[in-house]
Amino acid sequence: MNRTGIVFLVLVACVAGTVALADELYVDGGVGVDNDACGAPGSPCDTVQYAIANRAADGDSVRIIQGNYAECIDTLGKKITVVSDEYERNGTNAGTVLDGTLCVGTGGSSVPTVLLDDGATLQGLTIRGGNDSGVKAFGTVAITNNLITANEGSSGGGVYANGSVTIADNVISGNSADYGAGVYVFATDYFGDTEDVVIADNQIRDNAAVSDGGGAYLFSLGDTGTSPKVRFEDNLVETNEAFGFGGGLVAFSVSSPTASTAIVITRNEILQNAVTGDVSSEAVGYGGGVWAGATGEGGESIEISENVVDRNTSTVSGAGVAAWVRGPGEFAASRHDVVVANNDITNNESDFDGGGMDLYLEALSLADGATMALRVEDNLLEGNIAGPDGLGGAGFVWLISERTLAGQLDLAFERNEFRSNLGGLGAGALSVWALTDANPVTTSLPGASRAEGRIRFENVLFADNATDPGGVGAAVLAYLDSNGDAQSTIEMSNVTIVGNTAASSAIEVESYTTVDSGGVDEGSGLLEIENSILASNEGFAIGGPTPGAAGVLAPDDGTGNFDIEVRYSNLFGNDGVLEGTIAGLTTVANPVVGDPLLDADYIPGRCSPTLDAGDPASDFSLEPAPNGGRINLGNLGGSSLAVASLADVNGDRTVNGLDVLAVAAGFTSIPGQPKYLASADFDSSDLIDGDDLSFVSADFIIGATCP
Amino acid sequence: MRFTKSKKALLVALLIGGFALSAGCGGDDDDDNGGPLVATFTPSNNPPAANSLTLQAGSASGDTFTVLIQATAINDVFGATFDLTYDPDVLDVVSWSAAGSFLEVGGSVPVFLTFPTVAGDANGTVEFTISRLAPSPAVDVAGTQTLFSVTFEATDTVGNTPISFATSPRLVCTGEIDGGTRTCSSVAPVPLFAGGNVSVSD
Repeated sequence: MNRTGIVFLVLVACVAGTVALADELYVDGGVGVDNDACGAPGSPCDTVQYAIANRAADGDSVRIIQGNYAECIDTLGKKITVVSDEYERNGTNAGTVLDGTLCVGTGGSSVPTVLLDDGATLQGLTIRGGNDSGVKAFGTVAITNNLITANEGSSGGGVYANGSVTIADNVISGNSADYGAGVYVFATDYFGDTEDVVIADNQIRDNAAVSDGGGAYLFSLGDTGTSPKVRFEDNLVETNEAFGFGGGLVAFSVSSPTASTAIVITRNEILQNAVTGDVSSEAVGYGGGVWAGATGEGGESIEISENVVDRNTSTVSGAGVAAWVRGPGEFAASRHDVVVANNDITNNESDFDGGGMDLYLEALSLADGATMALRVEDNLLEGNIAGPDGLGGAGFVWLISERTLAGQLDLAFERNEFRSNLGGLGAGALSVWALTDANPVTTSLPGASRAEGRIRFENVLFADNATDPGGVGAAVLAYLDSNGDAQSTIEMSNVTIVGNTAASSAIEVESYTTVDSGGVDEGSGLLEIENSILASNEGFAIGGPTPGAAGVLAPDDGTGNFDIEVRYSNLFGNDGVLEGTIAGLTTVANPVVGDPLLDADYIPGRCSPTLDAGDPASDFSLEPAPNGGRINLGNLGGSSLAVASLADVNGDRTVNGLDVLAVAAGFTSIPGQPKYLASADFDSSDLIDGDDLSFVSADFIIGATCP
Repeated sequence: MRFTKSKKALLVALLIGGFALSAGCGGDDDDDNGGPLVATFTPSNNPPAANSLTLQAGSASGDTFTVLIQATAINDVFGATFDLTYDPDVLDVVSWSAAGSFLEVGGSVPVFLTFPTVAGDANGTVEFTISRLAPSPAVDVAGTQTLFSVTFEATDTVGNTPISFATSPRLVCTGEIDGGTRTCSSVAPVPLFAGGNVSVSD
């Protein structure tokens, strides 16, 4: 090796050593000295900002010895980690405090206690006293394991974040701001970021917003061509407060035509938060736990899933969750989707409407191709309360469809359970309002003047809900308003409504239809109920308002255009079936008579007449075998949780040896063979096999029989 | 009469029990009352007629005895289903077994189901279903062959009691499905079902 080679190797070694050994710069306030050589363990710097500004380089850590530091810091664009020594040693943060109370910015402006730039990490500190947020972060930044308390700001009292920010394992408490008192996230992709904003495993408590978002405000703004995403998961959001929207948190998603935004709020505990705005103003007081809104011209999605939303309060509506979707609709590619799924929304209380939820979907002249969806799936809503002058113990639901076709809208409730909620004036569980309007008749928008609005309920249980004494609609109060060439429809399939209590009825329905401004078309209303069980409710199964009441069931133009269709349903044991006003508007087809034999959890017994009694055309393929080849009634019907039919080959309602022998005799046979019996092929597998033998054997050995 | 015998059995049991205690001997586990009961089963159709499904006496020991459910001269036996009834005050079911059933011919393992599933849960009626599985063919029974067996034990009560085939449903199945209204075709002509009587004495 020549001399040049040796020199090269030495240089490489030096460079490699420099790169590999990032400096750890120590700061020990009151002990250290700020000078050009400070930062070693034995000669720490005195202030954090000196170490950052003068000693740190990309890749370094600034390690702060325990103590109170009355200073504000700025990472100055350096990709560094600011961490406490106590956190490194034992995982704590309480003894190392950055207090920005006395900090003043240029010209006397407010400043954050910590300003983090792209590439910085803040870990294991107590951050307090910020008067323009405790922590402000831009770019790709991590904020972890800190206590962020007693800060204030306009947006993000505790933390303001804009970029691919990770906020994890912090306690964020006692902060205040106009918006997002605990955390304000502004997700924009302005920094060219493609990663999610992640807020995870934090405790966000006791923060107070003057306006919206007591615990957190998540604002996802999709500018042209961008797709910012926010994930808010596994956090505890507790006892926060806001005046206007979102006592616990706000999720607001807005996008431009070629942009998309996404916010996911999942697996959080959202407890005892409050919105406090004056009930006299409809502009405030929504979403005690969560307020979520999606609107814009591109694609916005918000998912609220697997959360526990408990004991939150609101002054106007949606004490647990408020979700609003609004589509202006000029752009065919617009997609606005909000999903509320698999949450436990319990014991929330509103002073007025919507104890559990406030849901609002508004489509205004939605362009052909544009869609909007608000889907509420697999939730438990239990023990929620509306105010004595309000409606909807479990929730208040609005669908407004103006010059928009039903196929563009999906407002659906699937597989939810509404239990023991308390309405005020009406709607022990849900107050559902569908307003469709075809006016003006002449429009330049595609879709012409037709308007349709449909709210679907599938596999939903309403049990033990009630109104205050004298209230109407123990389970559901439905109001259908249609103007012009428009129809409002509420469709209930496989719904169980049982044990609800109101003065009038389990389902109270009102309809108001009017003729359009051209005097041509009158709106229509329709309530469809099929494959459902309405049983043991106090009051009528279905009722309406007092005859002659202005505008209800006797529209002001005098024609009336409202129908109720009940098909393949069981109406048993209610105080009455159809209230007088309703009877003349209702068609009951293929009724299923008899006691549905519901158990204490409202699951039909295997001898219930509601098994295999639904519309033969309805899909039963998800029902477990043996499913009788026909859908069951009620909320479990048609689902994988449906009660199995008897493995009764010969239809005598007893599973005995005759049925076993039939399976045995047809064993291994397939359709078309003489020994194949479709009734012995319980799982419709086109083969009588061991599965079928196991079905019949299982029933045989328990002596399954029905009277 | 039954009451008298019961009182007598109790008196004997007390006497024997007192003797056993005074003699320092272990008790006789054949009978809680100490007296060795003897149960004897007598079929009502013996020798069994052709084209019959009958109960026949199997092994016996003291108060325990086995009844064989046997087919005699029946063609096309694929399976059978029926209830057996007995007086639960007099008899307990101990066990049942389809081991060695003629339905095993050709290496088949028949389906054998009971309700209740546990012998000790039976209380006067047991529903039995036994069957080959298609595509195994039905079996022609020549002479008398055993379908399965049931073992009973006398309770404390002496007396006579029948063991019977309940009237419905009972079927000897050929394995030919009959349109689903019947689960499988019965052999023709319909065989005779015949039980028997048990005598329990001390």
